[in-house]
Amino acid sequence: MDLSDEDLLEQYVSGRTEALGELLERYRRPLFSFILRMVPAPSEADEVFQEVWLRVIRKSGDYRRDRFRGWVFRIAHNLLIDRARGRKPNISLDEGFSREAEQTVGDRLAAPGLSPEQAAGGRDLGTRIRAALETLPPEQRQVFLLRTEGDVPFKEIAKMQRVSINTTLARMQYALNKMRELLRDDYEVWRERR
Amino acid sequence: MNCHEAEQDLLLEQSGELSAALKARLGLHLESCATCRARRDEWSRLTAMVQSTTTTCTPSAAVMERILAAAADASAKPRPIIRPLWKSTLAAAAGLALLLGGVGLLHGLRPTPGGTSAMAGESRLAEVSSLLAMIMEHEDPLGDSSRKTAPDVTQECARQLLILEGLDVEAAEEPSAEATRLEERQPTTLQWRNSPESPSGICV
Repeated sequence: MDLSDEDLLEQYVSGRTEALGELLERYRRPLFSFILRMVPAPSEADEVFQEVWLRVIRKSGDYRRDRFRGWVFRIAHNLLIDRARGRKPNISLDEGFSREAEQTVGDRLAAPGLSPEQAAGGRDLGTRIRAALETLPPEQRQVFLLRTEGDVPFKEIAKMQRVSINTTLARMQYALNKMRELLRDDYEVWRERR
Repeated sequence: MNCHEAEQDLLLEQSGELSAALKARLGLHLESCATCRARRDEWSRLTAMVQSTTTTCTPSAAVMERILAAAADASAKPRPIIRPLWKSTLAAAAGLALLLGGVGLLHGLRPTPGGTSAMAGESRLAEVSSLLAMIMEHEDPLGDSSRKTAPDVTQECARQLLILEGLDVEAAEEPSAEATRLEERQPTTLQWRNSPESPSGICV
């Protein structure tokens, strides 16, 4: 039987170094993919990924059997927010304008990035998905990627973003509908191949 | 249920966060709503399509090696042992006991000789619980306020701490009928369980 993530981390803390290697292997693709699609330049992804794991190693002794998946993605999320703040110190990505709407600057600004035509013109499906993701406001992109890449529950995403679960669900709805619109052609081709 | 609610429930169902009752309600809506059924299928396929491109993304071998080297390096150093929350709280409590014992604060928390044992015990339990709660709030390394120690945990640790120091907290919390009768008859000076003659013991 496979050990849970939490068991593996406990084993690592107890001295079995290989347990961390197993965790790393488990999260290599989903976590890296989440980071890769959140950073503005792919070259930053390695650096962020490494920093996430160095923090996991540093904090592992204090870990208290929270859900590991939520914990590790929260570390990544916080690092990405810090980096975004470093780049745009005057714009907060996760602080609300008003309590009622819980909308943030990211929600309100017109999404930067490529036009749908540019998005559709990418070399391959992965590139076009990345281009389409870049047209989403950061909060919607986070929710979309935390769900699709990280399988992080909405409840935990809401905690990370410090908004209500309804706001998180609404962000996911917008993101899915926008992505469906941008990737309509790919989606049809992909569906026929299945 | 309208389609907007159904869409939100579809997302929660996909993430495994929808209760059985709401699942049943969603099922009924889907049976009669072709639009929501189509939406569910589209979202599932779109998600699968995005996930299908995930497998090509991996960190560089150099990064993986650096992480594993850091893990081995950290593992070679002595590490704290993970304990259940109440145990780590109790460990903090033991530290607190030493600290308080050293400066005589626990002594200061003792009841006045004229007080009743039940009231004194409750009062001290509350005071030590508050101190523990303050300490434990500073323990979370990520500074996440959602992980504050629950009051029942700190109270349990305070109780253990006082028992460790010799106070029969349970007796103080729930005085027996006999004890209550005795107290009603004559408010007594509290007795010390460990060394009745010594003022440095803990009263019962």
